[in-house]
This record gives sequence, structure tokens and C-alpha cells, in this order.
Amino acid sequence: MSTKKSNTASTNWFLQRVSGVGLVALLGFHFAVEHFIVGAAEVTAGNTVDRITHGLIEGDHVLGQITINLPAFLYQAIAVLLLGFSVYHGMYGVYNILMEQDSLKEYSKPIKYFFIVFSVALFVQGILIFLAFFEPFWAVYDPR
Amino acid sequence: MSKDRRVESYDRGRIEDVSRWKDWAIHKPGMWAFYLHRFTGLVLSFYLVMHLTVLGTGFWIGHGAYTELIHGLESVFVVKVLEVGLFAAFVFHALNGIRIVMFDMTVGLDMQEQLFYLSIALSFAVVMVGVPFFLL
Repeated sequence: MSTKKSNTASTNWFLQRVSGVGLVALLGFHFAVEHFIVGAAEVTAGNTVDRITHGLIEGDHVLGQITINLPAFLYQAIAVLLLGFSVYHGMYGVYNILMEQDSLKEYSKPIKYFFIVFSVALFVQGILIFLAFFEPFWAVYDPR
Repeated sequence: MSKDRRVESYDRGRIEDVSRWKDWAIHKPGMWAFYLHRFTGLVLSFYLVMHLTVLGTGFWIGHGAYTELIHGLESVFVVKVLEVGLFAAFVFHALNGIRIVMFDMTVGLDMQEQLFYLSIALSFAVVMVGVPFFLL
């Protein structure tokens, strides 16, 4: 039992490191695209759809006119990995902080299950948003 | 005795008597790194939930709602300043995170303090470079 528990803890610790290192690149990419190339004020639903469905990153911000055409699957893989890594890393991080508080130790189980359910819900919400970028889902809400 | 910081000891009393949240005088740079990493982590986690909820909902409602929401938010100067803060939180958390992973691999243990100062200095430099991208 204790071995199983320590295995889970060490796996989570390892995944926290892996997701952290991954996020340096993934979140760096996200900031670079949305704030450095496109510019947050220039983000529209249209150019967001272009990025996610065609991998077309176009911006005319501080650096001037920049166009990068990534394979669509690469941009989509980055988006889904960014979602998964950030939800895992963020929620496991907050959970760990809470578990360090002595007063919360007796509620460790409900807190753990809350974070598992909340993280899954957050990930699903992100995936639903991701799917909403594609035409068939999109057309239901706001046809172009 | 030894120059190796790994064997440096400091009498903080019994561990049960020491709270991380008081007795600031004994705090060394490593503890400030710990606090800052925690604070920026909480900020980023909170923002992640807000980001997925607010922008996601806007996008889900429709094209127009999403674009209007972003342009509405970006027209408020305070939002842009907060975005610089968010970027700063990310940059420091990332650099200090790399420092932590290095220690996990026993790299740079002799230079914990210097690497903390380096992560602060690099964060400041990167954020300063980033400021025009957020405010213009």
C-alpha cells in the first residue's frame, strides 16, 4: 500500500517536472504568438480560427509584418499539449500547496477528488473550446 | 571549513517550531525563491482557470462575442498592465522552474543563490523587452 502510494507520488512529482519543462516552451510559444507576433488587441475570432485550423500565424505588431505557416496538425498538437500540461501542472501545484497546510490534512481525500474532477472538467472545457474552432461546430453557433 | 554549501548548517531550532510564514529575519534567498515561485504559480493557475472560462465562453457564444470581448478587454489600459504582470509571473516561474529542475538533477547546487539572482535579473530583462509588445 505504502509502496503504491509512494510510486504515485513520485510519478506525479516526475510529471510535474516534465510538464513544467514542456510549459516553458509551450507557454513561451503561446505568448510569442498571441502577444509578440499578433498582439493581443489584434486577436479576432477569424485569425484565431486561421491559426488553429490552418496553422497560419499572421501578425503586424511591434516587429512588423510576420507570417508563419506551420502545419495545422503541429499547431493543434501544441494547443492540446499546452492545455493538458497547464491544467495538470497548475492544478497539481495548487493541490500540493493546499496539502502542505496542516489544517487541511484531514480533508486530503475530498480535496484530492475535488482537484481530480475540477482538472478533468477544465481539460474537457478546453477540448470543447478547441473543437469549437472547427467549422462544423462553429457553424452551429455563429455561421460565417 | 568546507566551501561546499551543501554541508552548510544553520540552527533554526526544531522544525516543528518554525513556520515558513513568520520569522522573516532567517529567510535566505532560497526561501524568497520559494515564496516567489509559489506566488507566481498561484497567479498563473488562477489566470488559467479565468482564461479558459472567460475567453472560452466568449468563443463558444460566437465569432462576434469573442472578438468584441477581446477588444473590449484590450481597450482598458489596466488590463494591458496586468498582462505585463502575467508575463512577468510566467517568465520568473519558468526560469526559477528550470533552476529547480537543475537542482533535481544535482546540477548547480553550489550556486543556488547566484542562480536565484540570475533568474531575477533575466526575468527583469525579458519582461523589459516584452513591455512594448503588451502596452503598444
